[in-house]
Amino acid sequence: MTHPVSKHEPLIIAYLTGQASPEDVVTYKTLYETHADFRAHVSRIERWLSPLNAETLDKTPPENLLSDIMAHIDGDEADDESNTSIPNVSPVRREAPQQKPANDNTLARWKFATLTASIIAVLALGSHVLPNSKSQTVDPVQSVQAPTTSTPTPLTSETQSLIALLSDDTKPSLVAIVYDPATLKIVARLSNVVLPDDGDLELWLIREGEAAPVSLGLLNKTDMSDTIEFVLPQSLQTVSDTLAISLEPLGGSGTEKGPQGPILFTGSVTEI
Amino acid sequence: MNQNTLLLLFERLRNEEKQAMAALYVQTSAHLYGIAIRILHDEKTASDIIKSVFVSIWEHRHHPRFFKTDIINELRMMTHRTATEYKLTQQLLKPMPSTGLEKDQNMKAVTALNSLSEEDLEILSSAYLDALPLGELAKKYGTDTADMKRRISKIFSVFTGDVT
Repeated sequence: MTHPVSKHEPLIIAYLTGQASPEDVVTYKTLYETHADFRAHVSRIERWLSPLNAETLDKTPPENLLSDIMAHIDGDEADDESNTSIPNVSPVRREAPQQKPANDNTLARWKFATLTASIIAVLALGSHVLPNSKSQTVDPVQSVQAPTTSTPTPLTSETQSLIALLSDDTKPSLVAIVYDPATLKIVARLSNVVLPDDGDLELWLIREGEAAPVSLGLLNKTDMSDTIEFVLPQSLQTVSDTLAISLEPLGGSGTEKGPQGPILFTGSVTEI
Repeated sequence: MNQNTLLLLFERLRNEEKQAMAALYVQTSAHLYGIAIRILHDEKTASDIIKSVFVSIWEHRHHPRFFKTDIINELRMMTHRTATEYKLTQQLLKPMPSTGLEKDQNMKAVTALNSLSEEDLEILSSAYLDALPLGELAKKYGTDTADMKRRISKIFSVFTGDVT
């Protein structure tokens, strides 16, 4: 079936592509407000064009945008939801580095031990530039926030943990990992992260009290999207767990002693 | 941006879990911000657009668009429409979910887009994604604005002929 070409189609096209004249804008607005058929046709043309947006490169939003949004949502409903607690989870908010506790020596012998000192309440942000070669040095985590609890909390099937791991502002790489505890499945979304041709990114679990980091697998993309999905070999828990991504030779670290290459991203497992 | 993950997040939003907004933000904001900044070329305005989109998502979290269709596509459309409207009117209008519940439109749209020549696709992208003015588009392709307008209309015939 062929849809009849609307006489307004040129107007809609001009508007949606930003070509409309001021007169066109007035006409468009009037029709949009008053004609359901016109709105439906706008929606149809938007849908035709929307796949083009998939080609647009990701760009990291400003640091305070999420907190602004959450504050706005909170403000709108403050009267009837006074007890709702909103996490302060801006994915690019970073604070001064926190000193590693003096009595925390469990992981001291690991090259990224300083990273595990950062256990945060809601969202962990690692600040690292994705290096172009394995030899590039990676800085330790810069952002920390005081923990609100001290007891490790296994995630229930009703909850999800989300970990944001991102670079500095000059190279806005971001890895966002969502974990479904019911299925042990994680979905890692890579933004502006280029997977190396001559190496593999390996995901590690660093758990307080454990002698060594545990490899959770390689981050291999299976298609052209920037999303990686796989099932973890073990469950994650809040407070005690930190995830890290290292750059390893093809096939992975190949050792049970932990990462051999540089750590590129880190983030604490947190329930939000 | 996995559709199942987004569906799960919207399910949590419908259960009034505001925390799910943060998860949705981390999953989608870089993509949506990229769309807004490409159209507007201004970080402050693009931030305002994204804020408006996410506030609207919360306000319309029970809207059927968010559990019956391709969610990320819906968010892209809201963002693109709001940014374009701002570009044309200098007004930040509250974004609304799309109307209508057409099925299989996305796949048909992709099929139609794939049938375009490389140059037609480039023209369409320049117009839609970059909101390049008609005059600049015409100049870029060595023609005049009237001809470019006709050409864009002709490009759209691939949709009107194949996508319903």
